[in-house]
Amino acid sequence: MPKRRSKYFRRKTLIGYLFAAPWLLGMSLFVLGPIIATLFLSFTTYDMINPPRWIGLVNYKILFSLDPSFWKALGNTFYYMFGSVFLKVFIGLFFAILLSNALRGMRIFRTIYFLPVVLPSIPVMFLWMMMFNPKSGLINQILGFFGVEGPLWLNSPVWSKPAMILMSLWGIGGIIVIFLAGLQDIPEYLYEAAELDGANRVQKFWRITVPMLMPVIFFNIVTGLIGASQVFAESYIMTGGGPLESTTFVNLKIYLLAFKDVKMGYASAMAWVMFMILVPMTILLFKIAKKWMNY
Amino acid sequence: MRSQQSMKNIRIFTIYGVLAFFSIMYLIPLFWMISTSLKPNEQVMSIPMKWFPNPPQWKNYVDAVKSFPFLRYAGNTLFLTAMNVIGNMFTASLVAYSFSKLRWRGRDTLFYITIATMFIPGQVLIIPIYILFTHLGWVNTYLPLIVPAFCGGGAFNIFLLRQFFVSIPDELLESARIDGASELKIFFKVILPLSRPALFTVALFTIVFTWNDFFGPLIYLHDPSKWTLAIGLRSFQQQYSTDWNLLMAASTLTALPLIVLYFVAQEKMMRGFTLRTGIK
Repeated sequence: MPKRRSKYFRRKTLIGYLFAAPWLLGMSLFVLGPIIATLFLSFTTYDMINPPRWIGLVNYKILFSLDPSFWKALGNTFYYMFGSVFLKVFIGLFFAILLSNALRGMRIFRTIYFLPVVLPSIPVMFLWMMMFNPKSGLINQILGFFGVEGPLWLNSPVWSKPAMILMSLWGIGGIIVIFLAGLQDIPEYLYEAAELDGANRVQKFWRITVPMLMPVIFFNIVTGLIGASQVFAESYIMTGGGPLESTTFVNLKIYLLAFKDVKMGYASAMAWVMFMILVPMTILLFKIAKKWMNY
Repeated sequence: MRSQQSMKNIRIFTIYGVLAFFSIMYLIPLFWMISTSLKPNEQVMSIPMKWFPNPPQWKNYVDAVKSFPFLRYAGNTLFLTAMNVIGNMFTASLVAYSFSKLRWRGRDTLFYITIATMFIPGQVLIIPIYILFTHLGWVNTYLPLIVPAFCGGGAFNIFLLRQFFVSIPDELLESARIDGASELKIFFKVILPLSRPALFTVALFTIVFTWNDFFGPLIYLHDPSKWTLAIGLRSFQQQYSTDWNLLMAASTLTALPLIVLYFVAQEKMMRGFTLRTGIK
C-alpha cells in the first residue's frame, strides 16, 4: 500500500511538472540563466566575435572610477524614476478618489483618462516631440496666451527630464484604475463608523482611506519604480540622450554599449550594477511596506 | 439643512469641474495628433497655431501610407501580435493550471520564484538572451519575438491566470477526475471554457504590449522588410523629418487598431487591470 501511494504521488508530481514545463524552460532560458550569464560576462571582455576573456574586476573598476557618464546616467534614471512614479501615484490617487464618487458620467471620465494607456508608445513620443517644440509646440503656445514664456523642454538640459515626466503623466490611467479597485474594496462600514464618531472628510481620508489603501499604494510604487527604471525608448527616440547627456538613462547607455559598440562585458557590468541597486531597493520597499501595513 | 444641501452641490460641481478640465487636457494631445495629421504642411508649425486644419488634407493619409511600406509593417506587426497572443494564452494557462490545481512537490517554491522574477529589471537579461539568439542564428528572424511567448507566456500572465483558476471550485475537477478524465482533458474541457474572461484579459494585454513593443524589434530585426510599425515609423521620421503631418497620419493609423480595440473591450480591459493587483 505505501508503495502504491508513493507511485501515485510521483505520477502526480510528474504531471505537475509536465504542465509547468514550458515555464520551467522559459524561466531557465530567459530569466534565471541570463542573470547568471550577465554576472559572468561582467567579469570578461566580449565582442561577440572572439570568445569572452576573463578580466576580473576591470569592468567594475572602470565603471566606478573612470566613467563619470555612468553616474550621470544613474542619476538621470533615478530622477526620472522617482519624479514620474511619485507624481503618478499622488495624482493618480487624487483622480481615483474623485472618480470613486458615485455620480453620473464617471464612466466617461474613466474612459478618457485610461485611453492614452493603450496608445502605441512610438506615435505618442512623436506627438509629444511636437507638443514640446519651444516655438511652435502646443504647450508653449498655450503658455504664451497667458504671457508665460515656456521653457525649451527637450532642448534644455534642465527641462528635458521634467518634460519626459510630464509626458509619462499622460499614461496615468493604469494607476487610476488600480486605485479605483482598491477604493472599492474598502468596507463602507468603516466610513459609517467614523461618521458616527464625528470624523470629517479629511480625517476619514487620512485615518481610513490611506491606511486601507496602503497595499495598493505600495503596489503602484514598486511596479512603477521597476517599470520606470527601464525607461529607454523615450530618450532613444525623442532626444538621443541629450542635451548634454541630460536624458541619457542607464538603459540607453547599456543599449549603446552592448548593441552599438558591442562591448558586451562592460554593458553586462553596468546592467549588473543596476540590478544590485534595484533588488535591495525592492526588498527595502517591501520591508517598509510591512511596517505600514501592520498598524 | 439648506446650507448643507448647497455645500453638497458645490462639492459635486467642483468634482465635475476638475474632472472635466483634466479630461480636456488629456484629450488635447490626441486631438492635436489628428488635427496635425490633416493639416497642409505649412500649417503644422504655424505661429500662432491653428486648432483646425484648413482645409483638411485627407490626402495626407494616402501619402503617408505610400511613402513607407505601411501595409507590410502593419502585416508584420499583426503576425507577431497573433503569435504572441496564441503563445501566451496557451502556455501561461497550462502553467497556471499546474500552479493552482495540481499538487506537486516544489510547486509553491517555484511559484514564489515566478513572482520574484517579475521584479527583475529587463536590462540584466537582455544581453545574454541576445547572445543566445545570435548563436542559434535567430537574429533577423521573428523567432526571438515569438518563441519566448510559447515558453510559459511570462510571469505576469501566469500570475493573472492563476489568481483566476484558484477561484474555480476544486469539486468540479474532482468529479471529472472520478469520471476518469485525464488532467489534459480537464484542462481543455473544464478549465479553459470557464476561464474565458481571464484569457481574454491576457489576450488584450498581449495585443497592447506586442503592438507597442519597440525594443525587441529594434535589436532583433535588421532587415527593413521584416520591420514592425514601431520601427518603421522611427525610420519614416528620420527620412521625412519635416513632414510632421504625414508622420502624424501614420501615427494615427498605427494607433487606430488599439483605439478601436479599447472602445470595444473597455470594461474587460479595465477589469483585467484591476486583477493585476491581486488584491480582492
